[in-house]
Amino acid sequence: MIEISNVSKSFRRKSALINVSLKIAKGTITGLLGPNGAGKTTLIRLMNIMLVPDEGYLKYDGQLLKKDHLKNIGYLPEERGLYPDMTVNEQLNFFAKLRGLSREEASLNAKYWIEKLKMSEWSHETIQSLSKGMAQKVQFAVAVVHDPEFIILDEPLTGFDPINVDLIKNLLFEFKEAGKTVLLSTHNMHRVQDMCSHVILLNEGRIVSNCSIKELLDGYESDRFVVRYRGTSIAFANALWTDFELLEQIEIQEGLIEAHLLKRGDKSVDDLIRNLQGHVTIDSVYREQPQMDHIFLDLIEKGNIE
Amino acid sequence: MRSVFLISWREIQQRVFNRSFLLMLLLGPLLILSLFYFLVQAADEGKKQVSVLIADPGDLLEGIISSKENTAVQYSFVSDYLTLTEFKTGKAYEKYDVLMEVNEKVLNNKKVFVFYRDFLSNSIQNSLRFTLERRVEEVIIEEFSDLSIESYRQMKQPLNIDFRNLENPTNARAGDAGWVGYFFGALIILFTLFYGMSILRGIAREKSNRVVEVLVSVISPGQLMLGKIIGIGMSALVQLLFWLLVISVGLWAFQGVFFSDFFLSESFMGMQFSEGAHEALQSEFTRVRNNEMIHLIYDRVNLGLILPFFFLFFLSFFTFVWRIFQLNRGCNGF
Repeated sequence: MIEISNVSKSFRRKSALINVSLKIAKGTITGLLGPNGAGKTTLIRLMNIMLVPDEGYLKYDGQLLKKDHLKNIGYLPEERGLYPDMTVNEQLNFFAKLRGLSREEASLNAKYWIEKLKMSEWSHETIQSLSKGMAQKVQFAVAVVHDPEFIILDEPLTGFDPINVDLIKNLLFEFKEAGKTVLLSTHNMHRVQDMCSHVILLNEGRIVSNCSIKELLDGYESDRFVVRYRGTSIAFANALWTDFELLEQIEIQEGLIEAHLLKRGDKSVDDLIRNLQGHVTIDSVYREQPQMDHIFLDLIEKGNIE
Repeated sequence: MRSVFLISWREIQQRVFNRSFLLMLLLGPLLILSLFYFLVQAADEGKKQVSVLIADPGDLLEGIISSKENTAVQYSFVSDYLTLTEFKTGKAYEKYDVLMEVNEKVLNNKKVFVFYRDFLSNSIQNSLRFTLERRVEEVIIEEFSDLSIESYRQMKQPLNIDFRNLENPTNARAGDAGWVGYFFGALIILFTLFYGMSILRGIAREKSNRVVEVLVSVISPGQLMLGKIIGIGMSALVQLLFWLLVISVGLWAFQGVFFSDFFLSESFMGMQFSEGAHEALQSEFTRVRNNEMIHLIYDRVNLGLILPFFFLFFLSFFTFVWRIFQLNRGCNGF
């Protein structure tokens, strides 16, 4: 869908992107991660032709990215912006027409999204009279009102209540099922893990990781274990010896305690079970799934350049 | 181009269907017309309702002055000499504001004295001058020729000998009309600067409410800027054209309602003139129309020339803004 080849972009002497190459496959939800100043916004702006690369090129569906492709791209910027004096309906119609839709198509699509996002009751109110959450919905609708194939969403769930978060999440899955491609830029690692099939990790203008979530998780073994046991906590702590560090433990049922451990050195699950046998009754032991935020921090720290 | 049109149309809608714009659309020309009216009135101070006593010892005028009813001037006749002291102090003459002395030799020496108690407004002076002049003409024609009045007036085209300075052969009176140039120049600058600022304000507003990020992801900054310039320029033109329309209608209405004394057709309504006589009268009337403001606005200001230049400057300014923006884009490479 989108192919970026050896793209570099600098602003004066500051390099925002350095020799970035990546592909975003059609019909996927791809997470774009990176700390502040990593170059995410620059990358997004290049995809929207708001900026032109100093080196390299971008392709859309095998063709060099050009203005004509913009009608197939939807963009929800992190810095939300709408005309405060226009009504919801006017706003959607205006942006749909600006994206190349005819008056009739724009009206039809605007109506569809107003109903889809449950905005009918206040579709004739101006943006300035809406709450932040309502305006966020309108902003989302503006990004997708022209039925784009490729949707770039920068922190799309910020400002939404849990009900609307669920609504938007479901919409993103609908997009994926309909064969549309979504690029989701966020700082929320759990959302990426939860929603994305692929992830691109940027740091200091370079790509640190670009793979599927599964590949990323599989490549990382967690240092943390969870043990559920019956017995005394003193006996449990003594059994750990110096091989494992007890992070926290809570009684989840009467007599059943769940403990979170961090391994020291090259210790394995077998070592843990061996240590505990004879001291407490083990109910279950498993390795914690690696969390995206841990992987993110680890990759950033290691400077693991692909 | 459709994007540019959409942006322009939005700008027009935002500005034109705005309460303050609509208010200014009506108030602006009304203020200008009021200002013009008060300037004319200020330049036409003096008594506007007078009672005139014509001392006509030779009974030349035969007790007739005009067939036209004039509500501002009431004429009475006395067929005797009247000294100035008598007129000034005599109880019988207290009610008269003006003494017009038409002696028997007036047909030869063409000299009439008009004495007033309080200063007379220009319109009254005009009215007295022309009414008496017409009547004396009629008397002369009756006395010395077999011509009809119409024929006489047709023949009476004054030989206009115009003395002009070699350095100023067109006799351009810069002092009189110069401020009109300044006024229109200032109006152009005012309009262009105001709407130029409006463009900058619009951009600043879109940057502050961040909608520009969405817009430039759809259209190029150049298209956005062009759309804004066209939209705001069109709003300015709408306002300007409406103002011109209202002011023109207002001036036309003023001509008939408030300033009728300054215009021949109104002053001599009901009188019959041949075409040539009418032209001669018009020319003479214009020459001596002695309210500077009226003379300037109705006779000297060449709106046919000013307006095309006005629009030319207006378009040039917006083209200039657009070029500056393109230059800036070229330099910054966005």
